[in-house]
Amino acid sequence: MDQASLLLNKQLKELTKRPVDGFSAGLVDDSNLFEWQITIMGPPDTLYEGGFFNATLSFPQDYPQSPPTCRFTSEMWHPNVYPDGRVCISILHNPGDDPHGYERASERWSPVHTVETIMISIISMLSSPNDESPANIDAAKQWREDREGFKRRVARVVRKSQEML
Amino acid sequence: MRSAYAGNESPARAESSVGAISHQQNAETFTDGAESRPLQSVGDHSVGVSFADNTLRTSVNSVSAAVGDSVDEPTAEIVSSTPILGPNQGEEVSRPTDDQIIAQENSIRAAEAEKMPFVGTVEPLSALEEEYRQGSFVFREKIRSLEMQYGSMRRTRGDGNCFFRSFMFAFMEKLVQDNDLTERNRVVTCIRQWKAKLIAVGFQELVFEDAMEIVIDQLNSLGTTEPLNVAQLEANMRDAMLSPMIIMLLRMLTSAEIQRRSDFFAPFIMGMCDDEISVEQFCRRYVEPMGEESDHVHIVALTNALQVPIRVVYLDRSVGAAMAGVGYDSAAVNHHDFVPDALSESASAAAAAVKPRVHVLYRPGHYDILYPLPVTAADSTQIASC
Repeated sequence: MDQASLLLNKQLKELTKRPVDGFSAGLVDDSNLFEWQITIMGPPDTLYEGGFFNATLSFPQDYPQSPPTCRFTSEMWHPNVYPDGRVCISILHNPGDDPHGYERASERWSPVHTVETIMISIISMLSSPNDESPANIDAAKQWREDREGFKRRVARVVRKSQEML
Repeated sequence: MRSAYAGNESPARAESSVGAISHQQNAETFTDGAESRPLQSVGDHSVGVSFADNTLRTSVNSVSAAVGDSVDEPTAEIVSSTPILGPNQGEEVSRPTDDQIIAQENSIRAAEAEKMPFVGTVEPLSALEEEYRQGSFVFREKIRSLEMQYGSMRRTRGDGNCFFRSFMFAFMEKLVQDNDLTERNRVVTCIRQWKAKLIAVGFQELVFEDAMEIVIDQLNSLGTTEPLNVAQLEANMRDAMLSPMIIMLLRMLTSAEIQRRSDFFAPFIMGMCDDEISVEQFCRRYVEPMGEESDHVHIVALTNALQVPIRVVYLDRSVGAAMAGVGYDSAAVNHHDFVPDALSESASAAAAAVKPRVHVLYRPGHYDILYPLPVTAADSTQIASC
């Protein structure tokens, strides 16, 4: 088994044995360690509370040298999630790969990250959107200028995610 | 110039803020030798230097430096091979998209990677002389002076990991060649002790345990019927899977050492970064990610983490150091010895005699491995200490 598979396999076993609060994780297809299916519980005391958001985590062959990509498959409304569901947080960028100049002072990908630490970052992103580096400009604008409208829109995606269960 | 990178200045910014400080130690000497260049161009010094560590920075900084700069170092081709980002194009021609810039940077990186394996072969020091044949007088004189101490060198890939890779290769190679089981036993014990310390700092065991076992297995093969040899070490260090894992482990050890002794390191880190960042943030941004260049702080931490004394020899444009009793020697090569605290404190009188186990050659932005000549020759010519 290559290094990436070994490491992913270990994490799968560990997360199955000792689940971590806030998300559940498994493989999309048991024969492929590189595609993970994640369900994120909307963090308590946030607009996303009560939601169950599905996402996929796709690891490259050279993980942990390079980061995975994370994409919500459930509908999501958040300044740091692209309209197509891709999550845009700095730790999922390689040092040097930086489409957003404002991320210069932020933490980048390093091989210390695991499914667990990535999910903790994404949950933290849900709790505190960063409207200085919007991936979804409309959501960022609404978050900044029309907080009530933003709340209603998020409440809708939370409801939708519950219906999909 | 800026506008061409407006959306993408962060890598260079981050790097030069760190890079510039890393050269702080040499900063004043730079100005001596840097002809008409002002001090703030220290970061730009890397431009034109032939190592890939600088490739990225080169692509960004080349604009200012490529023109009219007497490029002492031999690689103007890297500079001139950055087509999209020419001097004035940014303003007039349509600005390349961020994706294009990233793609170009990645292609430069990939091209550089193909030129050079992670670690090269042993070359006589004359190869260096050849490289600087057209270079400045100071460089050529310094190389001549270097040849009195060192017989050969081994280049490493300039991918930002060159310090760690040079260090580990040189350290392991010496162990292998000397079949030094005492040092092997010491370092294996030392690495095993790091397990608890890494966990204490917050690393998950599963992210480092494989790398740690790989390193320990290689070390433990010494003294067995199938010991690691230099050819196998080369193969391992050039391996696309093993080499990064080993670098990753060293980065974690370095990070953990800095965090464990944050009171000691905090003032250095504060002096290095423009923005106020914590010791932990520094480690996450500039130590743990692969490809982030190593500075004085990294070396101090690693030398202490593994208790391995390191000598860094600086080949730069500074005009030599004053040598006691000898006066001013323009060709003297500066070096700095990184001595683990425990060794330097244990017997202060003997500290001066702590012999470096690893010798690396530093040229602004890059580290390669140096091989000292046999002791007798080296003793007769002391090189000046920083």
